[in-house]
Amino acid sequence: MFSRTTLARALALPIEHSSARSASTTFRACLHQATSTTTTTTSQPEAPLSATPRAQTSIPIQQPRFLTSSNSIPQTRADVPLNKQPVAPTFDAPLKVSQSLLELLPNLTSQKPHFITAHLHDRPYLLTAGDQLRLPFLMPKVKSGDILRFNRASVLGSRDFTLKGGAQYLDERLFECRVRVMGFESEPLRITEKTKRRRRHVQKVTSKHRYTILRVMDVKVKTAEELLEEGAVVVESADSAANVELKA
Amino acid sequence: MMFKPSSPLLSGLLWKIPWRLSAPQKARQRKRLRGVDRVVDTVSAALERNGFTTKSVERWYAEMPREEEMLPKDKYTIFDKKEKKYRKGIHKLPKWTRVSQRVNPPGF
Amino acid sequence: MSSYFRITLMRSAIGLPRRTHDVLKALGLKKRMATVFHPVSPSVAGNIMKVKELVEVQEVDRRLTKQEVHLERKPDPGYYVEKRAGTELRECRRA
Repeated sequence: MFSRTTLARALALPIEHSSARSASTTFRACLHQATSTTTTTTSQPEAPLSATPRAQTSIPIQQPRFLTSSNSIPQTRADVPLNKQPVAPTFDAPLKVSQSLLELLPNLTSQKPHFITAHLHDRPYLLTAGDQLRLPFLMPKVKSGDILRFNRASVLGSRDFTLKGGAQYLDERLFECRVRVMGFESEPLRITEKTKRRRRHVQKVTSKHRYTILRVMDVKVKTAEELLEEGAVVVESADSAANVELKA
Repeated sequence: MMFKPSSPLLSGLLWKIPWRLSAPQKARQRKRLRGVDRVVDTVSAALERNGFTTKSVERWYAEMPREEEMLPKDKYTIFDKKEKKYRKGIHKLPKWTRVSQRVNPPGF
Repeated sequence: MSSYFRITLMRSAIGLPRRTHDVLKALGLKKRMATVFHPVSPSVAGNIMKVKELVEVQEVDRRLTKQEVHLERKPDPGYYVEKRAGTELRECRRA
């Protein structure tokens, strides 16, 4: 049995005498073959390498389509599709719930109070009814007294049960989370003094962040009857977007 | 005692490059090699589908081994004529994370 | 059917030869994480091969606008206004 190096050397040495450029390339191919025969006989590697896709060999990747309200391709920063804007959603397909979810849902709905992990701009906020929430930004185009609905949640739960969305958010028709805008706050004006080198001048940078104060009016998980009343379709198991779990 | 006598503390400016790569460094090196393989595969597959051929891609496939075909010796070390066993760590190569250095002189 | 290369600059070319910088400039990649689209052609492929250690490449079916690339990572707002304060007040008065 040859070791790897001796085999490579045995293949390499006869060609080494010719010093042309082409010879070196053929030699490289040779070396490469020698190593491949000694290390792996199959050309396709097994599990750990296939974890990262080797290459894209099939059809070109389909790019997502974002259409603005006027059904055109977004060009400027002002063109934002409706599903990325804070507007009330419209549904064209009914909500799909699995049989197991319908069976387990009464456990969750009967146990109050509920909490929700609502996501605003993909930031999670853990809320229950009666909470006061101070958002770290000034919410645009709202006034105090407005009622908002939070419609992106990853977790709904009570003391003993949780409803998890898994990879994506829970369907917004499973729950109601209302908050009222209480008002706006601001921090005291901050002045940071900045100095540049070799310059007898102090630059004063001011900042005054504004916050939105909200109060959570209610966090309600809809019961199975309400879901069916609103036109939810019972499907077998796989398509349902949520699963109820019993906490330990 | 806080002071631990070591050569940088005793003699001032002294930088040392470790003589071999650590395990995470080797893992990242493999990841980078695979990333380059993936870019070349994507480019060649796209060209093939559109009916083009490119010399640089063909030359890459003719000369360069893939990450899984390479020996560990070639992944983490390179040839150096001034070293005792003609090998030094690949991290001694300038810009080693951003250049493709896969084949070494014949016999070494 | 024509397809496009979607090229994203993952590693900067700081400290690399002048030629590498020029290739990135030719591809239109000015800063890290910048994404450009080019039709599949041998000349673009040659450019990619010059900077293959610095970029990530996908073959895609169409070219996206800058705003569409931005929208890919824009999260949902997660809220909407259900009822304005004024309408609620008017409802109360009417009742």
